Amino acid sequence: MPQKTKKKATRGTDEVFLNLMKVSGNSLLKLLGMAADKAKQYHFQAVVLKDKSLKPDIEGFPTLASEEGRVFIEFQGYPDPFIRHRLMAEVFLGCASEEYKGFVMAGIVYTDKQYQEVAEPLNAFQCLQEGEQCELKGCFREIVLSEYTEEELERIDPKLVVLAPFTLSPQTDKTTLLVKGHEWQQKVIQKFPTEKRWEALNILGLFILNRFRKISYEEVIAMLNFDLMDTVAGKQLFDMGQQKVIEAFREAVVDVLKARFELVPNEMLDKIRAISQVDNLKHILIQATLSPDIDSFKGKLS
Amino acid sequence: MLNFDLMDTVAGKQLFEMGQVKALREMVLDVLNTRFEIVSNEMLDKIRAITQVDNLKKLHSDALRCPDLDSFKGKLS
Repeated sequence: MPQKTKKKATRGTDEVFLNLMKVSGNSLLKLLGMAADKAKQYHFQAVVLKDKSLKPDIEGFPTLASEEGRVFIEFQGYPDPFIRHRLMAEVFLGCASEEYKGFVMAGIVYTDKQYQEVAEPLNAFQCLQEGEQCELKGCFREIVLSEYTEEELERIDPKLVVLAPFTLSPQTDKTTLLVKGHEWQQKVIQKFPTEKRWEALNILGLFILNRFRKISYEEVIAMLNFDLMDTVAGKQLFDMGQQKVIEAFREAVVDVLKARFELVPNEMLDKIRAISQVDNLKHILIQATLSPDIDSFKGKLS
Repeated sequence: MLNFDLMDTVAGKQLFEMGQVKALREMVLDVLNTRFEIVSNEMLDKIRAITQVDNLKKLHSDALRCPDLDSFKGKLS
């Protein structure tokens, strides 16, 4: 039986590819083989699904649109045997939702060859008449980033420098990576307009971390002059760290009370567990430690 | 999709720990302010220089239990 891919928490990294399409969508089209003059006619467009009953957890898909057609792109950085099926479903759902009848293109950008290798072909339709089949073949343009060199990406479009981390082996030594990272940062500054630079560095930073997990927070700053704390993903983790301490303190209040007064009424424990304000929780912990007896603490709690 | 959790990276873990450090420092200072009211700048600087989660947890426990500010100062140095 095929193994089901475990869905992981993505904490603020889901939007990286969406942002890449916004910041550098035309460059992606060139990477997929579209001529430069044609690619520049496309702009980012989000397709919002109207019928939520079909896919209630998906609001819509990012596309690149022009008068000539619509382009649907998937960025694939983990093994998903049904990625082609998902992309095909996106194409038809997107077109149905927008009542779009025109020309479409679709492509998959794999970060590594192994993710393309596990992707299953689309199903063949068995026609009712014996011996006839309808097959969907060659519908997608597929590329594998790790098969490109940084120079090849740059020749296609200098803005593709944000994808350069995938051209290096994950085993690249840190010294080389730090030098490379600094070069990429310089290129982003040169090639992207001011208003798009921050987002381009955000994308580059997350791609570097995706490929090279051992890079530290300080090394990201040194390479890119970019503070992860300013990003959605970075803030989420920082807040989670704060929240973990606060939750631990909620239990600490209960432990302190039990250790000091032994018998703690359930009603009191429920009240403590219901406190959601951080400042109140801090105050209650101090009072649990300092109150001379449980009645005096009860007075502070109410 | 990258299906990528920033928490699986060294930098992500550091950010998580930085959040813990911030919350713990604030809690130490809250206890000291509540118990002893005036906390010297020198003491504030020393607390702000601590970046280890475990050290701050211990310091918080000391701040709650020390009988007076001088005894806490002794733990801090």
